[in-house]
Amino acid sequence: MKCDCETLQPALSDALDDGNKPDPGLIARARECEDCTRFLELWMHGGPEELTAPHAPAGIALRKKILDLPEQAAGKRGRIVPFLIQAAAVILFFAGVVRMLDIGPVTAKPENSSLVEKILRKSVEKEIEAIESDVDNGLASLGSPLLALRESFRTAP
Amino acid sequence: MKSRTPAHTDSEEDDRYLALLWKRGDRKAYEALVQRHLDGIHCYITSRIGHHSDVDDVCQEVFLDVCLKIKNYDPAYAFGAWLFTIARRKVADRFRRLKPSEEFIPEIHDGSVTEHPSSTLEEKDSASHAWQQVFYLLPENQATALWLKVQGEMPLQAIADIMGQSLGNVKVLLFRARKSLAEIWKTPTQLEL
Repeated sequence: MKCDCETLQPALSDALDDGNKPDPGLIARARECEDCTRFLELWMHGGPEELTAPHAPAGIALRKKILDLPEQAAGKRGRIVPFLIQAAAVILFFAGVVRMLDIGPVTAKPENSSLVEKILRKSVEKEIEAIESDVDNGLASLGSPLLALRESFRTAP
Repeated sequence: MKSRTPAHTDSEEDDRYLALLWKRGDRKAYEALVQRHLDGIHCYITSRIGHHSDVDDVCQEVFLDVCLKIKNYDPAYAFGAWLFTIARRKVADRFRRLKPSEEFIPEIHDGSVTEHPSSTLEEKDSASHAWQQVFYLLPENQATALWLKVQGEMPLQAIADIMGQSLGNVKVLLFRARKSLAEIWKTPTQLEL
């Protein structure tokens, strides 16, 4: 008969979780299967010997260091608070400096803006004048070849 | 170690009471808590990282963290579970920091079993090496659940609290750990990785 390990082993594990000795019927069924027997023998008495063996306790030096930790922790907390106060003082100082110097986004005042506009308008007008005179000069220089061309069209048969 | 973990409800209640006293500044309560839990935490850390010089440092990190956070301790939670949660996180942090150099090397980590009564230290070493193998072979959550059950001798509810899992999940983790080890476990000297 094929063993239902997937049912039997969780049942054995459940019994071990609760600290109980598995049911004798369950043990008898487990003994009929090689895998379940191995499972049972390994865990029946709490696990492999190597895993249940006691560990070395903490050393005296470590114990002493750990007993002194509350002072260190208080020191750490003590260092954090002054640091926060110092950081707040620096931020407040810079906020005051900024306020005193009135540093902020550069905004043009109305008088200045009209002056700037005037200067810009003047330079634009000058540019337009210069372009107009360039166009006139260009047309004047084209004048004579155009007349010659018109004359040639008129005289053509 | 085994009698110093929060295995019983009375013990948990004592821990809570001591933690509350310490929270109010009672230094003696802190010393009592260290007395009750240091060996358990030391044992857990040794099981995870072996007899390494880092064990003492990680132990101190755990208790320093507890000292810094005791003001936030909520007595609704078991003190032992809170402490082991911090220890578990500190060990994970330590592995994260040193991951590239912490490969498992069978020649180095292989335990040696001896039945000779005079070789107590070797026996203790074999226990920590055996657990290192378990942590190497199994997923961390399965190995931790098994450690808390077998070495910590903790009730399922305490394991569930430490691991942030339901009781049902803890049972599944324990079953899977037992099943996997039943398939592959040999004595540390025989174990071939």
